[in-house]
Amino acid sequence: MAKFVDSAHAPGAAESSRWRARYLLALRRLASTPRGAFGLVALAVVLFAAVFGQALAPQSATIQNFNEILAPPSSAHVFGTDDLGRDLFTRTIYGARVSLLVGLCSVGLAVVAGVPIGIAAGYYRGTFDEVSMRVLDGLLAFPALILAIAIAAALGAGPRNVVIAIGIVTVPTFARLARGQALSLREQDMIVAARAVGLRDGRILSRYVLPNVASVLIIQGALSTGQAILTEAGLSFLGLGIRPPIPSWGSMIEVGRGYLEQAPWMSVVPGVAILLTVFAFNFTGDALLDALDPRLQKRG
Amino acid sequence: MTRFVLGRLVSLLPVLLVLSAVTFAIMRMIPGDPVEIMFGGEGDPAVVAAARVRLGLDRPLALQYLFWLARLGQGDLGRSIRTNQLVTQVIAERLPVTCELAALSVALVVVIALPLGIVAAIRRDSPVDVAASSLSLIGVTIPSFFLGILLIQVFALRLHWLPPLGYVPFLRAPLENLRLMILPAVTLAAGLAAVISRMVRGGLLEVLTQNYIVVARSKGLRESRVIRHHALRNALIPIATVLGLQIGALLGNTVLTETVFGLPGVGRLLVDSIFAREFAIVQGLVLLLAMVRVLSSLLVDIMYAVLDPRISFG
Amino acid sequence: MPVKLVALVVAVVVIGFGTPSSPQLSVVRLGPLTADAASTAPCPRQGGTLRVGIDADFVNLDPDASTTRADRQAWKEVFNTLVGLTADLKLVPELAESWEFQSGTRVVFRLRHGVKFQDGTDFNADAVKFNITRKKTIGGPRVSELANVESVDVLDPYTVRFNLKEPFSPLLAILTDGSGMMSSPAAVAKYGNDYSRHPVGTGPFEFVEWLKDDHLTVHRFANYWEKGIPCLDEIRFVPVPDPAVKLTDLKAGALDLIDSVLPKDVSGLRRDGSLRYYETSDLGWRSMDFNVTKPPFSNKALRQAIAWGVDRDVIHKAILFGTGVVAQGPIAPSQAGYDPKFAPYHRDLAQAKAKLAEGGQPSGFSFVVVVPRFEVREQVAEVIKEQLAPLGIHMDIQPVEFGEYVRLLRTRGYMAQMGGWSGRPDLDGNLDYLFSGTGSQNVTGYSNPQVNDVLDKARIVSDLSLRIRLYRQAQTMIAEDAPSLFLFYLPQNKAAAAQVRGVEPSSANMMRLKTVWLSK
Repeated sequence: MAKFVDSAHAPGAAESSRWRARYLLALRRLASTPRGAFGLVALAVVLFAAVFGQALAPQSATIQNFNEILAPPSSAHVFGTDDLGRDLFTRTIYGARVSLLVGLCSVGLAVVAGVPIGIAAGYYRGTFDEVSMRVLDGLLAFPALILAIAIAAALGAGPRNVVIAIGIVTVPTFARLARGQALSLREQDMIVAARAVGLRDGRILSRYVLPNVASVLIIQGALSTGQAILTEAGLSFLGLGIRPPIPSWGSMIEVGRGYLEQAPWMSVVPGVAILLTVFAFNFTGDALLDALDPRLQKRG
Repeated sequence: MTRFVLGRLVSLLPVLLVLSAVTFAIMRMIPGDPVEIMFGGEGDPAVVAAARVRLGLDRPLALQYLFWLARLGQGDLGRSIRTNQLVTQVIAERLPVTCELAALSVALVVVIALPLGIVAAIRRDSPVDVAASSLSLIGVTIPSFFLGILLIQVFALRLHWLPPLGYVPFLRAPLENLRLMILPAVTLAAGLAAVISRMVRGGLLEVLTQNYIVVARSKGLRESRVIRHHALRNALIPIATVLGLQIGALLGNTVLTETVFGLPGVGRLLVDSIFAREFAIVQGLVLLLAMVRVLSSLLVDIMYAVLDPRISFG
Repeated sequence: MPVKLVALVVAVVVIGFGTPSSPQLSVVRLGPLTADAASTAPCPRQGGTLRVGIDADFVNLDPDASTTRADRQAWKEVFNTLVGLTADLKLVPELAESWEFQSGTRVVFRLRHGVKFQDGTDFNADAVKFNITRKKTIGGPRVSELANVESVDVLDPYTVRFNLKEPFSPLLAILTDGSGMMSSPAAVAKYGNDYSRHPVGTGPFEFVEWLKDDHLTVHRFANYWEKGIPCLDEIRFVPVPDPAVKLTDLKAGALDLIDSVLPKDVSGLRRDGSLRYYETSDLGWRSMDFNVTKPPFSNKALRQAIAWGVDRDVIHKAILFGTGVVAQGPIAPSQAGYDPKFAPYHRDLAQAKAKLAEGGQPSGFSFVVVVPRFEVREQVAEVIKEQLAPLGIHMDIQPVEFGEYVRLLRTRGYMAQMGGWSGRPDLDGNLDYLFSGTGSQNVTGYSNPQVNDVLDKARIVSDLSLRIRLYRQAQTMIAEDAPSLFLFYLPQNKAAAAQVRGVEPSSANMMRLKTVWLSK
């Protein structure tokens, strides 16, 4: 879906005072479409699980019961148990926190690193633009997953390093997006006017450019978070991301792959959890796109 | 046109050079020694040290890189540390698997995603459209390795319709080969098919509101003819572009697909080589991947020009 | 068969000399030779193709260069060794008909006559000298195994003398593996760099073709020196990386024999009447190893506290599903000298607490364990973590990628690690390498002068019963010092279709398929 956003156009000449109203409107519109409503609800569920999971979970995520190894779903264990007799429901809930944390942090990192570069490149153009975009092109020449694999291998396993690896891989997306937005805004009347009035660049950027870039960034942020969660799962599946005993959905699937015949629930449950979470982010992102950009909605 | 292509190819060189230096640096940043790994962690320190000297791993990094470049200039990508096999040979053995997988996937994308997107656009908001868009949402959302596991579960382990894993070269047993490649190809194609079908739908819807379509319709042309001759052609140009640009991402995803299905392709070779610190193989593969990526974007540009007469190469 | 009988007699005598009298020696089993001498044909039925499913594809078929354990599976068919090893770890003549220690440092081998390499050239003393020299100079894993061999002298076309730097009793055992495998000098010269893909030996099967990740085929070698052997016409090794698929393929008849079965699948397999299951235990153990050079585990009492806190039986039951054997020391169950009654530790929280107090940490402590994603080590670590929790011991699991893991081991940049040893047939390889202060595999930093003395002595005496006594003595001291927490010996298991006969699982985990036959 990133493609829609990449080509997304600058929101019309909105003044910063109208912003709040527009977001409220967008949110209402978002909740009124079935997809948007579903996305928001699913997102709320995942968030809830991530935040209150510890209190919510029936058991500890690491407690082992060797009399109940690979037990199928039952009333005692709604999703069954894993190879060490741990409750899968509990581990899946705990996994939500890991996934969300990795997803949000890595996208946060990419935004913090990528957006200033992109805005500066687009607004100032010139050598900085040339150089930074060449470097980003270089990064993009690697397939993202492979670059993430290499960085994760260089840094070692663990949540922090996974966040860094995925963050780096995601930087180009945000930098290019921000650059494109800044590039088109640069020539628009309000900016030209602001410049003519003698406003300093810093003020123009923070007051006019950033808010106008924000809506697109929020949409891309939602989509990228879903993507980051997928990448984390892929890395963990390959043994490079987050390893047991930390319950990461990706590594849970990887362990469960060894028990496909005896205990398919071991891989299916975390797999569905990933599916739903990424769904939530993609739905929300897509619906936001429609809601924030009325022009597109009319056509779509 | 020829000059354009040649120019692009020449401009490829610095990119490859930077890329190879970056790869070299990243690979050497990864902690762990290829010789120690090769001995499974049970190598005699003296023997390990001797082997490192023999392989030139004790030299300064810059020197190692220059040596590598110098040999590359003679068309020599080096040898595998583990098997002493030529890197070109190692890659050549694995390449057909990945090429077949990628080709089958792209074929599936075209066969599935195009009609799905077209039908969804024509029958907008119908049950078909809803089903198609739900399907494509699942397609982009589902982790490819999870999809692979599900397919193995259902079609191989439960229904026994298809063999679960393994690989047979196409030339030796074409039928068996295809039976083994169906599930991996579907797995790899799913994400891309989802994106493409949504793009086809979106693009077609956009084109259908354009003036010339309205005109064509008002001339009394049959709807199927309008779609086929006027709308589709214009809607397809950007899609061809995306398809071309996605080849690189497709190659990246082969890593997971090949791992899940145990296919001996270059994706798995790359991951295994990173784990084994087979520097020369990783270098060779990254060059190959980058070349494929750059060449496919070049191809897209050329295709663009062919499809859209308004674009010409200055 | 007078030659065989002579060989047999010589063998018994020689074994009596080489690794002399132990209680077990009264019932020497000579494997295939015995069968031969007892005049029952080695192959009740000849012919057929055996399809063998293996875990991973071969990497390098040159026994002098390869560092991959699994590659031996191919070598064992293509090559012979100077000294043979039976499934129950007895040394028997193979390419060498007999051997004699002229002194502690001079060993004379009399070679078998009439042995041909698969390329038609003769096997003789020059070939042995060539091979040993190559192994010592090619930079592979044989360099350290043969470090003690100063030179090889050709005394006559069928007699060679190994000159050792110092007395070295494990030599014969070392010559039963890669170091004793003889390649055709002509083939090595012919293929050069590509010899690793075209092995030529004297073994029962000759190499035919190897399609990477697809299959490796060997055919019966018509001029093989053991008469009537091999039984099979062809063996086809098929790499099947996924264990579930491998088992499914065996059940479906796509494979005849598989080289390993996951513990979780064993009980189902035992119930399956159409398949045969074979199990023995590995030569090497898995353990939690402590870095004794740094706190907290420079403190012996804290190591012992953990040893008292871990329940090996639970691990054995839960992770190995009751397969394999619980480990208490470095002497493997299949080795001469194994003592099933030796069990210095079991889970005893009172003892553990006492040791914690002795170590100055009565309420427990925290440490980090480094775990590679390899075998079942992650799961074992997770179980141990839970077992130590009640003692107030907080074990933090740090998963690392294998290359980083080896680096941490070599630089002793860890507190504890989930490790182990792949094992060697000779006791020296299971004790000296790891627990002598100067051992090449000593990653714990453990060095106890008494243990060092005992191990040095055991290296040079040739009397087996004395050696066993010494190694047991060392084992007791090592267990007391607890640089390693021995957990279990993995199972070495095979499964085969009903028509496959003559399978003998070996704790060295290598199948010799020369006497395997198909009943239909």
